Amino acid sequence: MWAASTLVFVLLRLAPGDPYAMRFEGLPLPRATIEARRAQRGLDDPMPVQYARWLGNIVRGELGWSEQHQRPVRDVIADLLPRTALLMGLALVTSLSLGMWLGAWQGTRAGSFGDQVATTSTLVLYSLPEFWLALLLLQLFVQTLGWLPATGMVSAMHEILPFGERVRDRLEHLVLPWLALSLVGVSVFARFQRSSMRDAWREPFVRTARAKGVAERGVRWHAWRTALAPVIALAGLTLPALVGGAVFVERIFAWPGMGNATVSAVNARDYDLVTAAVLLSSAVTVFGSLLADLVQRMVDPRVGS
Amino acid sequence: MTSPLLSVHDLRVSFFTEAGPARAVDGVSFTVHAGETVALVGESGCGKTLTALSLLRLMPTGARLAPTSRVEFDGADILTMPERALRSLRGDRIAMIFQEPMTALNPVLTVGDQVAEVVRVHTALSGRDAWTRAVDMLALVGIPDAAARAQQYPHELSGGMRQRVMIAMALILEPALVIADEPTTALDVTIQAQILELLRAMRERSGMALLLITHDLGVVAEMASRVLVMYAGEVVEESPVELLFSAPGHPYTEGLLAAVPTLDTSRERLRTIPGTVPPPTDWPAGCRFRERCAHAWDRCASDAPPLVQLGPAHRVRCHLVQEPERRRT
Amino acid sequence: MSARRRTLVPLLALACFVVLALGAPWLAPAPPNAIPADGLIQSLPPTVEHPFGTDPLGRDVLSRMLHGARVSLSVAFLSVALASLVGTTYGAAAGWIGGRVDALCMRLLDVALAVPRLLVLLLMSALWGTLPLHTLVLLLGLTGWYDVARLVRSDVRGLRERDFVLAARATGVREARILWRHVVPHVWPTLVVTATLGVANTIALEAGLSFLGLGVQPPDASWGTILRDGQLPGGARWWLTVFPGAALVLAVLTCNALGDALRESFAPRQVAA
Repeated sequence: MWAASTLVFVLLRLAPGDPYAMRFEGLPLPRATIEARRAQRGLDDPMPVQYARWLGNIVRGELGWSEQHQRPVRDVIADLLPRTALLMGLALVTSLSLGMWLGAWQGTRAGSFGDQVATTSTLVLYSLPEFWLALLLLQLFVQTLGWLPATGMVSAMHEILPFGERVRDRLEHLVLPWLALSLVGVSVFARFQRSSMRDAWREPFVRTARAKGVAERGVRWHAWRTALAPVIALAGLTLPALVGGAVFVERIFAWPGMGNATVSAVNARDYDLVTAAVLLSSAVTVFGSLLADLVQRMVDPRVGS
Repeated sequence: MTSPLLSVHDLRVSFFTEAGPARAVDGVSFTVHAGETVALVGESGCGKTLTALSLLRLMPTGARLAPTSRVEFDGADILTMPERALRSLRGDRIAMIFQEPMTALNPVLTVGDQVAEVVRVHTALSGRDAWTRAVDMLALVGIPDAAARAQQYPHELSGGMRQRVMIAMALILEPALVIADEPTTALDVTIQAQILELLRAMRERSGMALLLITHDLGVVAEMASRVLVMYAGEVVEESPVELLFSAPGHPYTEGLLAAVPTLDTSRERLRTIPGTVPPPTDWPAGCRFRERCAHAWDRCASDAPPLVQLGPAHRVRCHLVQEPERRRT
Repeated sequence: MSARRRTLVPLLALACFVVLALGAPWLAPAPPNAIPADGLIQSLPPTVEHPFGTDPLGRDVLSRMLHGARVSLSVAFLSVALASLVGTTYGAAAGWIGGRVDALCMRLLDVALAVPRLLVLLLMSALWGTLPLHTLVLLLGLTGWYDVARLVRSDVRGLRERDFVLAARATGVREARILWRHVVPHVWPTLVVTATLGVANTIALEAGLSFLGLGVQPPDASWGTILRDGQLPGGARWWLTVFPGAALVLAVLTCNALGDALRESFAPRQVAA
């Protein structure tokens, strides 16, 4: 975590120029004023001092000031994060459950017709960039068929709708972004679960379970239990990609979450917000891989011993 | 004579491979009586493991059984019975011990759980009672501190301990027939003796019949009362164990015996059978052993020898039985 | 499909893409940035003259796609080549030297992996303003080598203890020579597979960045920028989404299928006894 934030700091300083030079570039401000602002923000101090101050701020949760939103970055994030978490959480749960189910089903009948159909379908899905899938869904269901509301999280009149309608409104806005993220996610996990299940299915202990008189359901459970650990490891590693996918999907569906805000912040050169977003996503990634590690140890006693 | 516990009739298992159909098991018939220990002997690749698996319909995918094959256990045909009936037989009346306890046990479940699973599947016992029985059984097969060991995973146990777990798993419901496929092959020599001793003790205790698949004639001599020698998918000799060692009828059996190190042959060089078992896609016409046989003559290439009755329990598949003068010394 | 055909089909498809991209100046009906002389500056659906329609500036989409293929493919190929080079060097060095160096290298890699790649790229483009094409290649390359490094490193670690390496060392062959003669050839399959999958990944990533306006900059055509033009205000223009998107998906699919097929052929399934 600490190391990741250091990396972000280094990346920041690597870039040509500095935030202040860029922000005021082209503005009719006297050079001395810019220099004064630079000094005020401490950008003249030696690198280690800057670094220590920067790190100190982050540790205290001082993420800076968002020029774009004219609010502290912390408050902006507090507003945006739950929305992204909702979308990503739903997508992750769907991808994992559906992908693992499909992959496990395929793994027990590798090479069959059904497996080949599923393998081809997941390969195609896997090759669809999320943003294009999102565009396609948008064009089809919103612009052409007009079945679903265009973008955002709720419609303009959301507040005045009765409760039942409000729920419906939310769901209608959620379904396309969720679908765009999940479809690709399902293919990722299905592909991986298929190969790990296929390997497990060939292991002699599957035959042992049958020889014990265990029903096919139970036999599949035996194999699935051993095929689980690698998939969980992958789930941990997939988080960065999911974060990336969420950025595109939020952008296209104008979902008012972190990903969308990050792209806006990049375009508006809102450095503190971009930095915070990068830090936050790194934190999620690190947390995700730690969690995956933990779960992996729980389901497979061989890991780490 | 009472009717046999297990009666295998004309068992034929084949595969379709790129090199053509492979008749891996090709017309095997034998019986096992209650409480009897029968050994199935042969080199690797001769079809003995596949025979054993077929008895519980556990063949790998792609294996085809001939419609004329029958495996009768207690009067019911295992090869045609419905899946449900078969499942209730497996693990309860007929159990199996596999060669490689490391891979034959599920690596992510505790050994106690895996032994208890047999009980849970076949009886109405609760999870806790099944566990208690599993721990008792683990103690019975000689696992020290069984209650603690039951909580461990296969990779935390030694090879010998793992095989004891396998045995506990197979014997916990006191099956009438146990099929043991090379139960000692993967183990150190000293451990092998212990495991055989354990199997013998368990046999005494429960009166089970044992079908022992092995390539080790030392194991056969110690354990079995009757022996089936398999070569290239066929039974080439069936014999009571004493007779097999004193008067083997088939050149292949002789070859196997000559390859066993014994005290009185220790000074001469150990003899081996030249060549290897041909692939199952390519059994030779006539006698399948003729290419490796020192006595083979032209009849062996043209006629496939039948299994000829020599004595009350002694059958041999060799033309030498009818033309003993062809034997070369 | 036989294993051979599974490799051959995507390989041929990839070759088609490369030929189309290389031949763009001759194959394209119009120069990619040509605004029609008649001043008809509007986005039109497909016609005989413009089979894939025109974009909001009246430019021929087919021509832009062909030229875009040059940009998209060369960015992907070059950055993956860079990533493979860096990743192999890093991974091989870590794996071969082992010990503390290895542990440190792997820790550093963990750190780099912790920051999602897209966000690094977003951060960099925020700081740089607009990225020139060569910087984009550089950035994609320098953020894409972690997987290669990890895989190569674990391969090399495995190889280091193998008998033929020990034998070579015992007979006094120089380290560099062992590495080159005995280790690199064994790492090759891993490298080819990861690079192929990496190309697929990078094509999609570049398109995504360009779509956000942060990758390839206008007026240069890439599949991502054409898709972006389709989102300009002024109503639905399906031909600007469907055609470049289809090209994009086909290219990614081709590389993924090739990668899968290569992986299968390098690690053939064991035939049941």
